[in-house]
Amino acid sequence: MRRIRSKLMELAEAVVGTEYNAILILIKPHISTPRLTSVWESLLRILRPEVSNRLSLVIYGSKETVELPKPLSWDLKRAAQELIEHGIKDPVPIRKRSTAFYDILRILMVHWFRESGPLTSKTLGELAGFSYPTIAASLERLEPYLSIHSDRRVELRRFPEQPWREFLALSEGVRATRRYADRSGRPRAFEMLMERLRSEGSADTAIGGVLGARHYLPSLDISGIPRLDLTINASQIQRVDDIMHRLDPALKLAERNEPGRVVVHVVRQPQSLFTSDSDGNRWADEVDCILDLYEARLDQQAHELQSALSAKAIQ
Amino acid sequence: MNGLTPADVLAQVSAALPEHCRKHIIVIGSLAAGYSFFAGDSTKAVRTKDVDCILEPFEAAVATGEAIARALIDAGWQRRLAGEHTVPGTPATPDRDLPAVRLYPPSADMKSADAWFIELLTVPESEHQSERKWTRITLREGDFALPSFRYLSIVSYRALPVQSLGIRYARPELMALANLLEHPSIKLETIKSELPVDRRIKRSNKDLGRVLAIAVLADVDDFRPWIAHWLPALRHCFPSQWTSIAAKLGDGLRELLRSEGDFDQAYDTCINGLLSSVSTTREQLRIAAQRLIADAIEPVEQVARASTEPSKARQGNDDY
Repeated sequence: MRRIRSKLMELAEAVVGTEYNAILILIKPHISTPRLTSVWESLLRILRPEVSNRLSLVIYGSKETVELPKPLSWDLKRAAQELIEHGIKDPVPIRKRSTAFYDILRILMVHWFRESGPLTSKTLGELAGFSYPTIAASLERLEPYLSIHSDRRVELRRFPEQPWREFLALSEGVRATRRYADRSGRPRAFEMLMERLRSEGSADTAIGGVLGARHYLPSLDISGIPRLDLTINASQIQRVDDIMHRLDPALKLAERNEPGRVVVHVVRQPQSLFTSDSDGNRWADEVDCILDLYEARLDQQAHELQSALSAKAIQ
Repeated sequence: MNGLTPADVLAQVSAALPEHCRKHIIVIGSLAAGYSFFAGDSTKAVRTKDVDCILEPFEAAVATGEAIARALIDAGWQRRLAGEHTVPGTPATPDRDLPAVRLYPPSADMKSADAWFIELLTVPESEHQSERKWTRITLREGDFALPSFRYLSIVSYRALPVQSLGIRYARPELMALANLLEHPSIKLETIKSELPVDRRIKRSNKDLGRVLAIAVLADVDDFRPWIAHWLPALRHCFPSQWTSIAAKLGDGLRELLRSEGDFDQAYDTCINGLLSSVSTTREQLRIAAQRLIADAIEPVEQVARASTEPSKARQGNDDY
């Protein structure tokens, strides 16, 4: 409810001094329509009429759509409908507390693999985008695997077996994985897709999977590349289809059980842990690469990478 | 004509032409595309009835056209007597009412579905020709005309030799470019046919379908190299106009993709023509279009638009 109030106030600020109208669209909200209507009306009372008259609220529920304070004009209704369809298709991921633990686990693992030293809770919070209580709760769960330094900085001291198994089990949902199949009959080579990705120069998209694993462990025992795994920052999630189209218009969202030629995963923390090389390639972090291998049923290779990185970290 | 072997037809055409005329002949259309893609494969055929031959340069077209027509008629080639204008004209006949030179080989059974004929065309006199134009040639039988279309100069640009036969054939990627330029929108004009009006194929759909067939037959997954052929051709053939015509290069193709009915017509003409030997689904043809737009059309449009803005022109031209 606090978020909705805040969004309405943002919209009110946005229309002040402009000629624009603004609509807040709520798609299948968990709050009842009467409750939302009441919040809406109470907020409007504190706004000047020249502002409140230009604000609308659309509640797109499972059974009905409510438009406040009155039905939208035909053109606004059409615009709203487009946004609703887009919102249903590509929902903006909401960061859930339930997945926060895995984001924090990922950061600690990557820092451990990279031997980049212990982190303060504050840094961890900034990297993960969560507040102190969430960080503290996650660190408590991870305590058996942590070294806590005298200045309260923390780092992993061994591979977090149990949390990792949980992460593996939930990874597809946590990472909002999407598969894209090639429908051209003449798939583009992975090298070409990588080259196009490089020329896009996006800082928010990185290569994982077998290619990423080979980047971190050139001796990885695998021949051939079954698919291209990409990791994108959550801020780009609504652009995924566009990014895919630019890589290759032949890439279409795969049907259920259809193998993906390109598989896209989402990382949610505000600061990505991507690395880059001198050729201009951007690489997904080590954790993503291991998860990608497991997801592609390359368990042997996933274990090989995980072991190699852990052994290096323990040394 | 069902199952033309492009190399055989080109050899027959070349052999019938006066030797000094061959260097002025460029074969275009589906036969040229078929030759380009299937030359080494005797199992691949092309369905076409007309073998379109451009005479170029324009300055040599009249003399070459007269010499070729004379040689072929004297060798027993038979005039195709179909269409609106079939009777040779007199000096008083307006150019637009003259018949084109369309000739069947001496042994052809003109009623056969396999019969093919040669048609002579020429390039435009200058880049400023916007409509179809007729150039008169005079034979013993009377006056005929060589039609020319605005974008035939693109098709003839840097044509390739047909083995050692002395004639040339158009580069497929430039035939694709010419068809894109010809159709910045889906026009209502239909191909002449005995079918009911609502069943007739729109000319735009056939020609834009040809673009997609070429894209499929090129058997590449990257169309960016086409830009290196397109831009020099545009600049050479339309030095004062290329930016304005290239800026809307893909508009017709995008319209085709938006219209299911038009796309279906394009697809049908492809699988009954150039793609008759190559299994292609609707989705694959659509993807070929999308790849072509993203790889070649959009970059060329961007260069053209940038070239009209002085501040961006240098950047756009430096990229290609």
